[in-house]
Amino acid sequence: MNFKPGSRLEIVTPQIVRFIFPEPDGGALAKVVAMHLGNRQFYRELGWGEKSW
Amino acid sequence: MEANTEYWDHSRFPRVKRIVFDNTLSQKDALELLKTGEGRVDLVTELSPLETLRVAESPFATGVKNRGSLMTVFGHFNNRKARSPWRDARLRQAVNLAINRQDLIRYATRGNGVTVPAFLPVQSFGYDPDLAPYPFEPDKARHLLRGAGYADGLSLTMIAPEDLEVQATVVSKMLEQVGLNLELQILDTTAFNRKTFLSSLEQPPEEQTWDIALTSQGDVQNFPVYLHYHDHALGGPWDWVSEEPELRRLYELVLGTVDRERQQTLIRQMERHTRDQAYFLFLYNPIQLYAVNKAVTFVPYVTTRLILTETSVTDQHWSVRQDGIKP
Repeated sequence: MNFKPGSRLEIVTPQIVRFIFPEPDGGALAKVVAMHLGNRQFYRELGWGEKSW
Repeated sequence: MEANTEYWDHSRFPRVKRIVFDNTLSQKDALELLKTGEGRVDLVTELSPLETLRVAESPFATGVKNRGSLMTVFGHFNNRKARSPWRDARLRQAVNLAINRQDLIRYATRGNGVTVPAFLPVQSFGYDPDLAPYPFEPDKARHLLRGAGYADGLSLTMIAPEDLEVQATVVSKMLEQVGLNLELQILDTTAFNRKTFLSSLEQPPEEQTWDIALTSQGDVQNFPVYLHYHDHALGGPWDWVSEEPELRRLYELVLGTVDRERQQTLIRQMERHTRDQAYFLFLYNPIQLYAVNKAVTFVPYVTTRLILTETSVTDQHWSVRQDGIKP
């Protein structure tokens, strides 16, 4: 559920951002809902998957 | 967790000052604390239907029902095991026709469920109101089993996690009524995942001997092509359907448009195709149950996520009451 290569994010104001996609992405809003904002240490040392839980 | 009193969106301003999530208590102990006093636990999630009756007797707690959740309880058919019989749609349809869903909901959940026509519950984006659930037709189920070459019955293994034990027991009895011989295995979460979560299997998919795995799926996005369809049928972590070209085609079309009406139409086509092909054992949409302190105004979300934005306390809550905590 990643955005396609070439996607960009512009910061318009402190409260508004604008996503720019290379082509229509019907799942974009759903992806934003499920976006993970994890600590980098999580991705570096643990990552997803039951073996890491 | 402390309230952010400088949050910019005043329409979603926090209504409580502090929330403590305590993961050190077992659900049983938390429920007991909630039922017998105040000041320690205000909210317990994932109640079993039996527990709600006990909560109703408490002077401190009350039960809250979340109708219309985006959750589905269903069964996977193991299409990936070697020489799987589940690639025959007649067998999958027969199993669906053998289930009396009204009785399942009545006996296994004490009425805390709603039938689903296919994969999606009524509040889901893409739910099709014109699609009917599989009827309870045991004679037709037996006919399909005979046609599929199982006139003398078929021995099956069904697995389920502990929280679906009652449901699995009822389902297994219904399947036995049409001539299927069931071995039911109730597994703890880790053991269940090692048989169903494709990236963590103890043995390769083709060596997994189970036939039906009961499970549940929610949808935090209300965009079921991802957490329902992708994850369970189109290459996701629990895809036991294996490759299915028509579903894949519809899935790509949904993602290729931002027209919500067009997306809804396409998801309804996915639902109809999935129902007709009986890719899953469709069971029900559970009503989510919570136990809550009587002085807490709890507002659940259909996603079942514990988002407490609208949740508040009354002036009788122990944290704000002038006379303190009741003994």
